[in-house]
Amino acid sequence: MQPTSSMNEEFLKKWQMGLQIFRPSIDNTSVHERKKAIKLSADVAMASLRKGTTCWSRALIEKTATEDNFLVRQMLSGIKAEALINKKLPKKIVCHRKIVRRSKKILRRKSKSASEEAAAKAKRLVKRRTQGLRNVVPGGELMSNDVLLLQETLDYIVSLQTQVNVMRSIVDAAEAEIDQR
Amino acid sequence: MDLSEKDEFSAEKRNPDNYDSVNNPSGDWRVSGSNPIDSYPSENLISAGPASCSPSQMMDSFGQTLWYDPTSVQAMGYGGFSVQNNGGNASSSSFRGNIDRSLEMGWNLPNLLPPKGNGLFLPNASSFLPPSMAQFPADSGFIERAARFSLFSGGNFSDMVNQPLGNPESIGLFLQRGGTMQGQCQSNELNVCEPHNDVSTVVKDPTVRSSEQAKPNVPGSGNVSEDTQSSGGNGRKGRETSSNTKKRKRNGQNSEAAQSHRSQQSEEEPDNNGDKKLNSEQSPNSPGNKTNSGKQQGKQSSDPPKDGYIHVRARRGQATNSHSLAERVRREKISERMKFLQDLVPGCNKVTGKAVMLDEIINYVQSLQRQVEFLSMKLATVNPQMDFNLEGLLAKDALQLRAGSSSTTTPFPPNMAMAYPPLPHGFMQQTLSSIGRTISSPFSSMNGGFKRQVCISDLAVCKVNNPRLTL
Repeated sequence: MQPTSSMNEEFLKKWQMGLQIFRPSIDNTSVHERKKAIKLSADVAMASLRKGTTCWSRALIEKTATEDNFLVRQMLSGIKAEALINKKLPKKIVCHRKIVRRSKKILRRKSKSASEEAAAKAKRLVKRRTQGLRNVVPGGELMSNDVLLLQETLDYIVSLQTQVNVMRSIVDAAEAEIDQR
Repeated sequence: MDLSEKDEFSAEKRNPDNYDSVNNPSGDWRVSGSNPIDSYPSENLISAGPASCSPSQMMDSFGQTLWYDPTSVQAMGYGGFSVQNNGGNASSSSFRGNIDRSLEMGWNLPNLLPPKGNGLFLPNASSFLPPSMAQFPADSGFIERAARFSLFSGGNFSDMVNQPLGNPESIGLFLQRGGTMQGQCQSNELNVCEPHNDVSTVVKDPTVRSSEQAKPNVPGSGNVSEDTQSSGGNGRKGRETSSNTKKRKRNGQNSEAAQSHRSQQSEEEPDNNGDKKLNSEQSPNSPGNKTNSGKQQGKQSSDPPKDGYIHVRARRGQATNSHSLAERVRREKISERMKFLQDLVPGCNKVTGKAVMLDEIINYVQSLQRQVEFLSMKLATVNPQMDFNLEGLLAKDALQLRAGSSSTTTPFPPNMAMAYPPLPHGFMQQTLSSIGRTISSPFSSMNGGFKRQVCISDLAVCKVNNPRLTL
């Protein structure tokens, strides 16, 4: 499922609303400040599109809120998505590494046949990759099972594609304006 | 007293949730019970909302209907059930009676499902039975099963019918997701599912459940009723796993229909060849049965709040261990999600295997995130004022200003004027509108290519009028 044009428009609308909040404090001379504001508003807009139905959107808003709580709240109120900031996230999954390692060692000692080892190695690879995916997707650590993780990844990818498309078009248009001058 | 109770039960069955009500007097099923198997295919069993009826009541009414004609039932085996495709009135009750009878035939169900909190539940099982369910007397479980069985769509029974009579098939575990039965029903000749989504999900369940949990068991009963309700709820959701029905068919009649998979839901696929597993029904004491039934009740689709189970059907030749079944369900879900991801991530069509796919996905997500960072940085540099006042972009139609009209600061169309916040300079709006034009076109075809429809005259006007304008 590719991002639709309606999704693009919605995202753009929300993003614009968020950017309006930064307008007063436009005297940020630093490029990084501006970039941060742009990205922040874009992320918040993207997350609010899902209206709190997905785990990653809530986690993303939590993350941005911790960095810049006031602005995020302002933005959310602008987008009328204030409820999102209060949504509870599932508990973070805590793995006690020592215990896990010990149990893994014990398990490894048991199976010695070649096929089992291959299967175990494949499993390990997959586990490592899923852990990597959890690190990449916002809120990945909070998802208890792989199925949910994949589902969230799917949604997150679509939203990211929307974001990238909209931003790219705006950049292209702005550059076109500059070139035309 | 029997009749009165049964009527009461029937009355309750007519629930506002759109279930067909069971109006049958108890005598009906007796008659139907003796019908030949041929009457199977078009059975419209709709158990009136088990969800709405209190299980205890159902149980009570059912208790009366048990033990009818055990001999006849035995002769017909499973096929003894006459499924009638009524509007769901008589057949359901009669059906239930039949089921009860067959179930009662000395099946000793081991302790039914493990407690709800079992690992058998799929992670996304959203609901568990209320604790009160466990308090039901043993009969209730039996009745629940029967009720669920009655919800069984005729199509499923046709499978059973085709089996030789003397070979009551143990149905094994069914894997369902809410609304699975919906699809089945539609494909079936029965009208069971159509009016009632709820029924659909239960279709498979009752057969398995009832067969495997024939023994009235207190712990199991709670689960059974849970299943009934959940299956009802599942149907309501309308989700279907036509694949389930496919696999269930013994004769390979994979007609069942509409494979309307919800994209985000992985549909479990019960096996066609549950025949082997069905045999387990005959030996209810077998550990496989026990685990299966436990697993069945443990797994329900999580569609409505009541449901929390997914009914899994064991495949032919596979272990009926509850753990392996749960594992299989999980694997199927994961593979389904991976398929969707394959479509989304470019260049992953040839890739097979979870590890490599996951690697690609991680790389893609990271690259998208980096792209966002880069683009935002670029925007920040390109437009120091950060005045991306592009709300007008949303009104694509209004952004069709042509060069001719923009030679002067023409008043904008009303919608555009309203879209923009009050700006100090009118030509700023002009510029932005031209930008909007260029941007709106890619929106309709987001394929990266984007036509530049910038009107040079607009820009010239803007530049002339406002040399300070930086774009």
